[in-house]
Amino acid sequence: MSLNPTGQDFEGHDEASIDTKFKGSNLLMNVLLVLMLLILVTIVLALLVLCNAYVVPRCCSCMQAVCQYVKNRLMYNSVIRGLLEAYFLMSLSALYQVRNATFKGEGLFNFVLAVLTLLYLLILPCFSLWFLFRNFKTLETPRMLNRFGTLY
Amino acid sequence: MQFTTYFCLRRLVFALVITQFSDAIVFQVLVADFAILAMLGFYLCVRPMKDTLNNAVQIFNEVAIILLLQFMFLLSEFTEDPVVRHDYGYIFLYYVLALIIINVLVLITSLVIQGRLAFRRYVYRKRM
Repeated sequence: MSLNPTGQDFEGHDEASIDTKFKGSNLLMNVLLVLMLLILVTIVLALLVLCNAYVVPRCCSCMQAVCQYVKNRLMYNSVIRGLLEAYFLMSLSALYQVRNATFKGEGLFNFVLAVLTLLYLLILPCFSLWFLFRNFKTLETPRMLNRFGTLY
Repeated sequence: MQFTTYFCLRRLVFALVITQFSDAIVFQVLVADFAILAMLGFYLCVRPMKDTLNNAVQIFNEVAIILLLQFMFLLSEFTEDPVVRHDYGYIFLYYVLALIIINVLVLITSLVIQGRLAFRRYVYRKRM
């Protein structure tokens, strides 16, 4: 964005407000991006489940093998990998937003979103540990490895 | 088994320090140093990856990050001469490039090994 020598853009915003605004929408963009990805993955998973139930049994064995391969790849290792990759970016955005909270209008909304994101960021590692301890005996089975292998 | 938990918590600590102590570079580097050393200790004691190659790569990467962290001082105002800082920047970039190349080479090697094993298994099954 171009600024004039007094540090204001052509709409009269100063640099600090632009910075805050940008960082706020950055958090929103990150969370929205993750949500969109999750929705996309959910749709793909739902399609796969439906195909697995109604279409795949009628296909040839070659097609069934391909479907099984895709299913194993998507459930749920790719989702977990995506969540882990986005973890640092989301932490940075959420903590930055909490630090520069304004509690007015969009700022309040961003703050609530940031706190919720932080809660999720804290719950994710604890939940993964709890989940692994709970399924400790079955971790080495091919089914668990194919589904949750990324976690361990 | 605790790998994912530590991995996430370390990132959270990094983010926390970066955002809440943005003016204290020494503190940031110290926290990062201790976090990386803790992870290095974890890798050395537990060996969380399934084979030696992957464990070695993890340990190598942690050591590489510790060395990279030292550049944080060299690329800040602690180095007064901007020309020297500029030169350090090139060293930093070459170092990062070397790390990326090494990691990609390891990935390719591990894929080739897995492919060879899968091919041998396939041939063995055909013969049976």
